[in-house]
Amino acid sequence: MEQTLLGYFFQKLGFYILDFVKTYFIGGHRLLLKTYQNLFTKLEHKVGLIINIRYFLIPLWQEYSLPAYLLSIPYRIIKIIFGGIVLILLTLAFGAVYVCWLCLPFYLIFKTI
Amino acid sequence: MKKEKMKQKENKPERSLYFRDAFFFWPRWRRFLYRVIFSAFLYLGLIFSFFLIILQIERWSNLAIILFLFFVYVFIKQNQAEFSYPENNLTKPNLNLAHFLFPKARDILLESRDVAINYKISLESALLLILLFQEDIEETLSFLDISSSQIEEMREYLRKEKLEQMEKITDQNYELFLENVCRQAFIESVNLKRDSINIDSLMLSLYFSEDPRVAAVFDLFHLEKSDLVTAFEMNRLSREKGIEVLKGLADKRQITFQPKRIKVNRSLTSRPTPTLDLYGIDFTELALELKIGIMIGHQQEYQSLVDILTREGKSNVLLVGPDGVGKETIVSYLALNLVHDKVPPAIRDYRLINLSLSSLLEDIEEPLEVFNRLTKITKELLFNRDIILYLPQFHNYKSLAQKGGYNALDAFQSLINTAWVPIIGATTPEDYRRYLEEDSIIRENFEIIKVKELTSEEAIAFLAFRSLELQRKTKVKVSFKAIKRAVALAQRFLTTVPLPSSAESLLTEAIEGARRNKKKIVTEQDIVDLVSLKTQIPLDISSDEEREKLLNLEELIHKRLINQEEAVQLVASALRQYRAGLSNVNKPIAVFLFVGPTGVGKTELAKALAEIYFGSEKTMIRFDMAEYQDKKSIYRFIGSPDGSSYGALTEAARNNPFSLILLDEFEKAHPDVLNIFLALFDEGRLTDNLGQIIDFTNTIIIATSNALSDFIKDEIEKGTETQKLAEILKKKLTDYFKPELLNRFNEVVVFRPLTQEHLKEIVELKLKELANSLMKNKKIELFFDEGVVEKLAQLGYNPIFGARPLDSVIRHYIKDSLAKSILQEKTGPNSKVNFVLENGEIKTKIAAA
Repeated sequence: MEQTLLGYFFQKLGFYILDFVKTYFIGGHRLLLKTYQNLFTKLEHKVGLIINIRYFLIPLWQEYSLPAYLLSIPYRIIKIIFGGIVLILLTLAFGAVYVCWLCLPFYLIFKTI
Repeated sequence: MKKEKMKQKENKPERSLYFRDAFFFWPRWRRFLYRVIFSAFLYLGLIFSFFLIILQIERWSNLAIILFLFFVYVFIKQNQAEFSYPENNLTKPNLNLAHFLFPKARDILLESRDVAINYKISLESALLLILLFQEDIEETLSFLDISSSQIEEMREYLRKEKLEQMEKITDQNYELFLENVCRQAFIESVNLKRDSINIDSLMLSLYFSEDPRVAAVFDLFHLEKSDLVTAFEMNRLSREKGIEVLKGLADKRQITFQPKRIKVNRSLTSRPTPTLDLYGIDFTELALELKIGIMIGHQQEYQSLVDILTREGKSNVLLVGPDGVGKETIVSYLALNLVHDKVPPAIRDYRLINLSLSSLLEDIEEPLEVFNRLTKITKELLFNRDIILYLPQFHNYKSLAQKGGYNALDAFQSLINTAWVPIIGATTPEDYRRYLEEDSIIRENFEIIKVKELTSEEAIAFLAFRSLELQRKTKVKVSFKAIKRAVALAQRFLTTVPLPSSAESLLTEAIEGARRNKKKIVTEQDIVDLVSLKTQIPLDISSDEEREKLLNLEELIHKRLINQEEAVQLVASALRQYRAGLSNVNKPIAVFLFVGPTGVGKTELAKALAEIYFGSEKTMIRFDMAEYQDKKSIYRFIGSPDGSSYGALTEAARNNPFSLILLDEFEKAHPDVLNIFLALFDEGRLTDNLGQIIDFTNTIIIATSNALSDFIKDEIEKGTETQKLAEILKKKLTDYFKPELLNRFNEVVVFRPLTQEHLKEIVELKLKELANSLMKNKKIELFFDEGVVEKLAQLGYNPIFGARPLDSVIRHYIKDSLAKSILQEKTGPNSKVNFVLENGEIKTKIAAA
């Protein structure tokens, strides 16, 4: 198991370089995805997109009358559209961050060259 | 095909774990040099790249950003293991364990070689020695009642025995050591769900060491591996932020007149329920705020609850279990799962509202008002299809009645009949039996779920978690051993309250005691002392005084009981076996049948036992079995089937679980009454009229019988040995008792008839008692002539009644004349009263002070 000091140093350096690349791309991907999933779930819970789709035909307060339907369906449509927009915006924002994150090292290297 | 697959599986090469890291085998100076070079590289790199960014040297500043990020990464990474488990595929065929070492563990392993050489001890001992110096390990061991001084003893033990002919620690030995330790530590850390090999997994790996001294340390200090694992877990959790054990809502009542917003569900399908919101507590809201929802155990009951709530048709549930068993915990857990949509779609987006009768009764001026409130709430609920109603103390709704026989439960009648508002009721078995069992509405509309007590393992897990919360609040630590002991003792001695509540109350009480005494930790001994104090039973046989007492039980009993050596010896030996832990804990402490003529000391021995064992004669509960001669008297014993009256025996044991039960003239009871004792003697428990199990495992049961007294007398006169006589008697007693009942007694104890000589000794004993009592209470000294003693013994002896007339003889000849002289003021404090025999008569001579 004899190894020179410099040999050991460069072996470690190699490990750190490889691990840095791995952590940046794979670890970064995992972190962003997890954060996105958490935020998506919380926001969905708040805006109630899925629940409004599921209860689309059930009037508000369960008041099964024509005026209630007339009020309820537009209300749910608005909620669904609003919720959809919020979630799409969140997805787009995270997509943008993700692309930037992935491209940043290549961009910096490209600018250097 | 299957076979081939199996074969493939069998041939699958095993994963190879190895240890390879040259750094460990370098001399100290080279390791130091490497660290200097590496640190220089790291810090210079950080400074260099930082300045490149700041100075913005043309395009190089862009590259500097990447370099700076890289050096920051290396800076962080050097304080972590190179690889961590979750991010690496542990199923890889070859794994170098050196990559999984946490820097601290790495340093300890490096140091172990030097320590082993310096102290001339084995590498394993050296590793344990270094580990014992780690603050983290000291903290962990304190959870196992191991003090700093004991840790020092361990260190000393490891340092002390030097290996005289120690082999030189070669690189090969060291490599083998590293590989073995790290392999085991790797397995342990994966089991502990850690990211890397840390000092806790290193410590656990030593349980697999073959070093005799390491094993001896674990043995000497009773360090079980499973306990250590839990202690590590507790230590880790105690440092984590945000541990909130969510339980109990008693203090979370809402203020009645607080204006509230209208509560709705997310889908806005719920109708407003202002009255319900006013008097109820929204469990789903509390769960959302993470104030409730933790559940340990009870999975089966929870699953049944969800199944019933989501099925078609009636979905009402009645949770039946003793107070403190965890009924509300199950409901709180449901609330948490409702919030997180972790329930079947049928009840998703439901609100769970707790409506207690006490909140409904608050601020009412007229009793009728509560019914109005209930009617309003029912109306509100009938318009909703997304509310689960939780009614704690459900029986109260039934018992709260108004004139005309209309009870509060009737107000919910329409609600119960619908299928869309699930109701969860909670009650105790006694209240269920008393108020609800016969109710047809309950029978037809509610599904019963019996909530069982937690197992001891579940209770330990719960309390380990709870103790950390208490530690945070009170700054008093509870050792894991204390928790284990609290659960074991609560299960054994505090049987009226279920787990975990019984053990939890012990812990909170012990914590309070520790706070008062400025102690920082509650240990196992504190719990033992507390239970001893509560039950009056000396549980600790480790003290010299208690050991002496147990070893000399016969002498102690003979201080108040004359003759009956064999009986005393049998009883003492049975009790010693029990206290030494050699008896079956699922039976009463002891069950004896005392047989012998009347007035020979059977009851006296029972009293002596009650005093010695339970601390007072008052703990003896006496039943005259002659009163239970008819068949129906069984109900007086265990309670009437309709629940209208309690059983004398079951209530006595429930109220005094630590007592001596004396069943006088046992043979006179009706055979059906005697049959009750078959199960009681065998299992140590009895089911009462309400279906509750009454625990008798902490009682001593003594049945007495005068049967075959003449036969005993004849045999004793013939000189038959007591042991042989007991055997003969056991056969003859089958005329009175069923053989299976006789076999359930620990001992059939034969009492000998008393002789004149015994009577004299008893008289002396009784006179001594009287003299002591008078001296203590009235400061009057009593003296008795030998002749007086003999005279009293003659007068007190009756061949039929044994020593029974003795008390009345002493009363007549001694106490009576004493009373007169006290009233006539001839005798007072500091008087000396001499009782002498003159002309065959007992006379009093008083010497005034």
